[in-house]
Amino acid sequence: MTNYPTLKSSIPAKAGVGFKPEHARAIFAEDEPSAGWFEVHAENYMGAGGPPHAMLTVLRERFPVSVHGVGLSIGAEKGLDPEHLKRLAAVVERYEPGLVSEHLAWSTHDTHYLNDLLPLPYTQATLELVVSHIGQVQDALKRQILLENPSTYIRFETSTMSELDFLSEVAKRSGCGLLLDVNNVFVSATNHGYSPEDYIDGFPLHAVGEIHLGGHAEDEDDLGAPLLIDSHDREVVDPVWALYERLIGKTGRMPTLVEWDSDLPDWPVLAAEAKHAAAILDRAAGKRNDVRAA
Amino acid sequence: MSAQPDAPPKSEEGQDSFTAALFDASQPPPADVARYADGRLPVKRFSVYRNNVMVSLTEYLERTFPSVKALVGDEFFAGMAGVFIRQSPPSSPMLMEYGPEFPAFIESFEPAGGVPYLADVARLEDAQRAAYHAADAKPATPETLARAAQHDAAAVFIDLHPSLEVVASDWPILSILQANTDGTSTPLPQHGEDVLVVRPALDTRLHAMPAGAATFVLALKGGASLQDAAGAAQNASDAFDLSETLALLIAAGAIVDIRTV
Repeated sequence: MTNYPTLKSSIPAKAGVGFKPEHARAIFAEDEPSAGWFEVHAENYMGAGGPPHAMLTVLRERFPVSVHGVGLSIGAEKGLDPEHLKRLAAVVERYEPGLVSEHLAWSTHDTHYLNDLLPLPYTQATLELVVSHIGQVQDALKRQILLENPSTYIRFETSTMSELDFLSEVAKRSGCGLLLDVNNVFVSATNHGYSPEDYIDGFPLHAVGEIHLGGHAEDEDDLGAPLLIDSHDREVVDPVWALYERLIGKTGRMPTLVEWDSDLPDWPVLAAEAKHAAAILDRAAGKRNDVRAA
Repeated sequence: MSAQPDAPPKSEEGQDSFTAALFDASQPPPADVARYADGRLPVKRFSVYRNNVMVSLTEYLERTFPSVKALVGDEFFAGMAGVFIRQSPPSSPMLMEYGPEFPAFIESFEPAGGVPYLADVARLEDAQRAAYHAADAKPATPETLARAAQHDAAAVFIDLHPSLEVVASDWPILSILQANTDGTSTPLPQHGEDVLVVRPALDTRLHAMPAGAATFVLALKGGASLQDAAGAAQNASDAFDLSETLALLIAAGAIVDIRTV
């Protein structure tokens, strides 16, 4: 397995926002940009032409852009789709994003594309599978990718290791970086009854190249206990902001993305979320400077 | 951990059974999914995944076929989409390519039989989906177009825009679609409408086609010469008017080049 160097990413350690074409006009009209960078879903830019490419070309001229895949199915038992990997490589080659990321999940099976990020058991066998697939992806893209921790609603009887051990081992063996989604941490920790603070504290932070924040919905499981759903359709909640601040206190400034994918608000609402993240980044930087000065 | 020999990948049962249970709500969660401490099955937890799959794909079809949805109502559309998704789930992570099979499904979907033009409206919306993502190309310049006039029609071949689609229908589908989009209620024509769909730049445009023009354009698309395509169109309709049709194609930006042999 080839190890690709951790790229000196062109994504700044600032607050960015997941790009939606609905916001393009408002974004381009801002004198003082509310977001330092944008992230796009790779699959939306795999068509031959049309408005998506026209818009991304303009966005890329004005802002640093990262590419986030949602359909590669890195955890697929039946292997990666070589055609889809080629399409991802074409998007990366065309737009030269600062960062490229995917999920610890699967979404294709046989001839089906399931359009959701489905969970994996954490076993020696799935570890081998994921490490090998990430190797294939990094070889095809000729660069390091970041792998995102999932939000999950179930666990598997067959798991033999924790998610933290699994992700640490994947990063170590594949040479990939990690994308730490703080909302996913909060969602999974609540759903499975562990401490999100312990998860953050135990995360292999040295491998983290990007942070995600987003909103979730609240439901109940069969026993009436809280069941959180990673819906990306509302504001980030206070406990997630608190976890984020704890995380930034450890890592220092990091590229941080606010995601909002359905029930889209007007741009100012998202801009305010980005400013909230930016304020936490600035506060963390200030504290670290204080420590150094003392 | 890495010192251990590689275990063979877990049998395909895991994702096989997970996928099967996603599409069949009568099945329990797969056997390898952890139960609650009291042995109960995590039915609600597993159903989050079921719901994510069905809702996200239904929303995709709603965005792609807004007029179909408006014609039958939200509830009917969601039910129809659900049957379609279970029967023909997407076969590729290129979700933008999902949809071409939906019109034929609608045609065979008995509960929708009372809306006989529904499938053709879906074909028109699917043509817009395809045009939106098609390759970009610049419409031919007036100089290029003028060149064609100097040659024998048998030697002229017209290259159409890559985004071009033709939807021919026995129903007034363009008027139905526009009535839905504009909310207008002008009386619908009593004849079928053939529609030219083309995206010369960023906006996809729809044009009503005169008699025989659909046959003409489809023949050109199939590689026929100007003369052969015109002949086919005349056979299809006595009312076919070549200059009127060419004028429409030029105005629509549907011609990207003219080759002479």
